[in-house]
Amino acid sequence: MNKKTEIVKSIILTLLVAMSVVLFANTWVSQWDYSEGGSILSIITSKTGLFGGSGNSDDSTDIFTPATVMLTSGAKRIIVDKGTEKFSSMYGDILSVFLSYNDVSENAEETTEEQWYYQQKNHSIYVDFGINIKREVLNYALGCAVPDNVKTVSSVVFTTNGSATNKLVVYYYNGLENKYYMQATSESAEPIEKLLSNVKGYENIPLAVELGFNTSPEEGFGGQITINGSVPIILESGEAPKPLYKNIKNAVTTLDNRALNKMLKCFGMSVSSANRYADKNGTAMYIDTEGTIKFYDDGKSSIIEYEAANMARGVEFENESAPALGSMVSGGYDIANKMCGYFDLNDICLNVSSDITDNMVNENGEFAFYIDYCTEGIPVYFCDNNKAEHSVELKFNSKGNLVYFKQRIFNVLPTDSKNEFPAVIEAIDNVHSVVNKDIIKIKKIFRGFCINKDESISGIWCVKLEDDETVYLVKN
Amino acid sequence: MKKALKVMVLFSLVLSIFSSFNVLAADPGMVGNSVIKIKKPETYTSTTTQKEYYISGITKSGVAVSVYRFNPYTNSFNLLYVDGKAAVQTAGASGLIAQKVYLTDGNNRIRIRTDSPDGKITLLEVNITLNVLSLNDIQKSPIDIRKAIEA
Repeated sequence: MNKKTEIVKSIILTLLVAMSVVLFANTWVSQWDYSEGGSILSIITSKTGLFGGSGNSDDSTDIFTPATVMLTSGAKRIIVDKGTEKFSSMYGDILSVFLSYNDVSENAEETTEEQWYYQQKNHSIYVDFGINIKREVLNYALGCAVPDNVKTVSSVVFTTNGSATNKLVVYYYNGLENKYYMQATSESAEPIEKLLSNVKGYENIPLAVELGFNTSPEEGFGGQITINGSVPIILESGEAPKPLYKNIKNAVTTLDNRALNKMLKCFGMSVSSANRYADKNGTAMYIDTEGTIKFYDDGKSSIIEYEAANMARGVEFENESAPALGSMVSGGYDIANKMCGYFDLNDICLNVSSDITDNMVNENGEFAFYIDYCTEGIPVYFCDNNKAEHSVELKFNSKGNLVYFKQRIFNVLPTDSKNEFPAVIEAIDNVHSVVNKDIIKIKKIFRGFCINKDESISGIWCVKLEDDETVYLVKN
Repeated sequence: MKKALKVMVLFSLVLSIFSSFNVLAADPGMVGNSVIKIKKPETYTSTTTQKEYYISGITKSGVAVSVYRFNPYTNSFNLLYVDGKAAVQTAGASGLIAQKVYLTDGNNRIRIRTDSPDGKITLLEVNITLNVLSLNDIQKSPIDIRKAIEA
């Protein structure tokens, strides 16, 4: 009898030990962050640098991918937006053109707006970043060599025009100071010639400068509107894939404990150290000494919001080699990207949508930038307002640490159906209905998707003005 | 007294002729009237190598702008149809209009008609010459140029 009891006791004890080992292992493994790799081995290699792991998951090249590339050959053009298949197939070649004149360290020569338009109108490749980017940040991110005197880059033109020996000539536009630069290189222009001749599907798309729409408004005529000469004026209505909006209600409840812990770790917090609260409105909060993370729903989508407990601390990004702004953008973008991963927003792409320049740093040394969601390269906005609301908002303190982060959680899924986009000129006609200004100077016009109140998605044109960071949504 | 009056009339006539020349000289490229200003082409007479050409301008909201081309066989201007659509546009709030036209080789006499909501009609004519030879052709040999012309 005693022997039997002893055996039962031993079995129970063994089971208890085994269970504690399993539970411990489970808890320990859940602390690992899989987002960078996918297996423990990959995490070990990335953290330690073993087996060729670099220890740095910097994806800056993706962050500063241009918004649009426009190829002009003869009098015809192709406009290729980021996120499309065509873009992916040619971007590597464009990047290699960027890197081909790495050895040039001389200052670029300042040139005129007329020269810039002349180059853009003729045999050339126009690369538009969609935002103004500080020279040092772009050089670090792409590994290119933008000359010292070009402080900010908004767009670039690669051409052979003006070179008697068929060498690559590069033009830069600094949109912040409205200055143009020209840099003659000793590199062959063959790669851009190859790109221009290999791409198929050239169309007759005029630029605003070719239609005279960039000139001063005529007194007594029309709506007192001028358009930046580089803007392509698409005169025919067109089509784009129609995505499907997917609202992820109570996003936090879709995460298991491990995913939640990984998410909190992005902000220097953990499930074990944070206290969980829930208020009567359904807001879930995790609070610890580092900060507060809230999960709530504002009727449009779920939202994650982080605020540092101490504005002098926040989330630190270690990247000594990167310029300050570059390190913040890279770190912040990485968190937003991870959030998309935790909620399986696999069809969403992220677009940095505000300038990455010193102008975005306030007098206290604090920096803010925004990211928009996009699908097939086209940004997605909620349409309850005429002004676009960004999907991700990030603020950094003067030390470069993240102190505020807000991200909407929703998905847009591709479908086989098509969305119609009206001709650009219709959007220009409707600009006065959303912009309350006597004279309107349009800097950019680009396609966007608008999520309506009934959760349907329609194609719209988005307008950015000179000296105004707002994206205006022009509905039909 | 009569002589002095004659001199004054003659002087004012000469002055008005000179001043009218000055007005033209000050803005020789302006193409337009009180209802529409044509932005492209910039002058009444122009040359291009682009067969697919855009005529653009600015007018007042609500004005219908139609584009006609001279037909030497019928000795009249015919409304253009581009890609199956009549070349007629009504300007929106911006007043900006742009119309694609397919030019024929040589001179194209284009007439632009505006119909204002108050019933007022204006007509404007521009001449656009389509040059079949592009800059690239100039670099070719005379034989290539002859072939291009024959083609």
